[in-house]
Amino acid sequence: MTPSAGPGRATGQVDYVAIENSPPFRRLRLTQRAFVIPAVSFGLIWYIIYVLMASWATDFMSTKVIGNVNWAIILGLAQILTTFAITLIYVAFANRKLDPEAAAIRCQVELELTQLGRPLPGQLAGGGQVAGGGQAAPADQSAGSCPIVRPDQPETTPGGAA
Amino acid sequence: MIRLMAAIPADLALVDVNPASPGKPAINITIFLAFVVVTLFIVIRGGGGSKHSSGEEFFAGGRSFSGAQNGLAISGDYLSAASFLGIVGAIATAGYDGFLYSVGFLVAWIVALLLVAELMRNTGKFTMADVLAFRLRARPVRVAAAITTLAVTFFYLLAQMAGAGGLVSLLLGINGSGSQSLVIALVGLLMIVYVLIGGMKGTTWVQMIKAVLLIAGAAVTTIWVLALNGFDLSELLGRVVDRTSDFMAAHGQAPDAMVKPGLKYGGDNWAKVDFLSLGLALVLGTAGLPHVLMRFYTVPTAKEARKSVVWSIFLIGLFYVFTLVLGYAAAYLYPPETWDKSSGVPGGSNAAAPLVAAKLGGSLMLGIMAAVAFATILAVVAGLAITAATSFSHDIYTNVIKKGRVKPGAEVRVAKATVIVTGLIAIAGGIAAKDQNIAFLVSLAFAVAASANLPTIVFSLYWKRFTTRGALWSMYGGMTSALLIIVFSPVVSGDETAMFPGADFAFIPLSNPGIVSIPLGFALAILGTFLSRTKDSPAKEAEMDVRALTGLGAEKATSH
Repeated sequence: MTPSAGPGRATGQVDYVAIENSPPFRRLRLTQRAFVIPAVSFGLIWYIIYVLMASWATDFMSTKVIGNVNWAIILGLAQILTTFAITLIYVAFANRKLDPEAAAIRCQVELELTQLGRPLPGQLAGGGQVAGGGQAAPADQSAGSCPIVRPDQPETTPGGAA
Repeated sequence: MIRLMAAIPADLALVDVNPASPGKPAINITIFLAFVVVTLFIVIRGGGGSKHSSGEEFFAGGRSFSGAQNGLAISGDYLSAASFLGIVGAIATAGYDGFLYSVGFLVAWIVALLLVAELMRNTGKFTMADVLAFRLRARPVRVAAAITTLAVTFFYLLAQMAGAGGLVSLLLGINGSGSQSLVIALVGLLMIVYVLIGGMKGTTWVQMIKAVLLIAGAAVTTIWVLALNGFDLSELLGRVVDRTSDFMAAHGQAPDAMVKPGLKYGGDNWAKVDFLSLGLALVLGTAGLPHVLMRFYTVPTAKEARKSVVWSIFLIGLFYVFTLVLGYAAAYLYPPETWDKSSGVPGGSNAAAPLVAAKLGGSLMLGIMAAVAFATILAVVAGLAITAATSFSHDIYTNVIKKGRVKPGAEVRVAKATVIVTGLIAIAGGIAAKDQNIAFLVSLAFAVAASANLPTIVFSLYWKRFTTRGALWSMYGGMTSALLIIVFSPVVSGDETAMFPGADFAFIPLSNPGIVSIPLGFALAILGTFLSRTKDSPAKEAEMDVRALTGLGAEKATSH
């Protein structure tokens, strides 16, 4: 259940394959994909329909609705409104669902590494290229426990991401 | 729609303006200089003096900007001369079809926010190539990504420099070709100074100031225009039709052609396909623009990257609503002949936005709008210059030539040298391109970004099997196809508005390559991946997957 910070291969620090296959991470990835792919598809298809209508449905688009304001103007402004709506819905979703799950996984890995006395992955970052001098990590997770996020239980993490 | 007050008759409360020589150069020059002095001061202070030995400071502003600050800076970076002068001018001349630029430029941010911003922030360091090199073979993908980055940045830069020449000549009353070139050279030099002194931090501050000025200036003008029309959009549209109906009828268009789609892209089916092609490039290009992607690295966390995109979406969206009003305002405040080449208005339709301001508030308002436009160009070219410099020094010099082993400070020194070279190339290119259409150059940059960069970014973040070969085929294939289509299109030859009107080797009837080159970029990425003999490291793939979503081990902000 918990992601393992056992001996890794690629970087020799963290076993990312084990984390990738762990249920919490798989759930996080599925949650993210299941939202962004349909949402982006909807936004793009709705936009393409609008562009096609502006080209091939000019009679409809030129129909006046309120005074001189026609469907073309209304649908153009509607594109802006739907973009705003998708943005707001995504942010609410990401704050409620993605952030706590990501923070819990991050915390768990960092906790295990700290207990093993190994450097945190932040100390050797950089496109997998730069071999930074890995020093022992400051143990911010000295409390010794991480929030556990279960599906369908949208609780916020105390002391999670800043 | 509720009428808040009666509309004021169209000709009252307006200033008489001669569009061929509006304004007083002395006022405009004073406001320009004030802007330059203030921003230089802020760049020197905010940029942290001359200490730029660390890459984090110079390339990513120490990753210390807040989401709101970065959102403002992204808006400042994104709302370029093409967005402001170009779109307002396009609506003034092509009516509703010009507004479609605004819509495409905004909807594009859905892709950037939902698919790219946070995951890029978590896996990269300074450039787009960092994300690709994470799990693909680093050297070939870095070279390819640096080439596409430099190509996109170059076209974008040319557009801004060309715009600067036209704009400043309008406002300073300079018309000679030589003095226009001088103005372009001055813009290029200022850009070099800003970036060398300020690095990413200074550039970001200039972009933030510019965004505030631009959005506030556009808001005031928009409200002013709406007030003249009783806060009734219908009234404004009606006046546009009244003003343009004879002109449209004389040109074989419907009297109300300005408020309907199809004035510019109506025509035959090829024109409509061309329009769809442009629409695709606009909506898919943003998430592949290197100077936008790079801004995600200036914030401390992925969550701040998300916040910054949200800020920028709302600011940019609001601004594009203003462009609709300003463009139509230009169309009713000035007779349609104003935008013809023969009318002698310097800058042609690019001058529409400042001319609206002049009509409302006289030379003072024109001077303010002009300073805003000038700030726009300066902030955007500075952002582009730092992007080009980062890509060259971080991707090519550090990681390809030196294979990651560089002395401290060398990367920044190389970047600073690149800024100077970029500036000089931009000056030369800007002078050569000063008569080209700005919107076309920008849409070319978007087409290359969407065809060459977006497929590789999306697949390397979302597709486990994606390989180095897929990335290389997509980047080189997408870029080459986009450029070839342009070369053989009516944009380059065989048309009176072409780059070479005398020659005719155009056999592709599209002026925007997106509809062919974007699907091709995606197809080549898929094909290259399936035809790869070797697989890239599954361990690296797992690491990228985990780090992208959780933020584990992401680059931290530098402490102060």
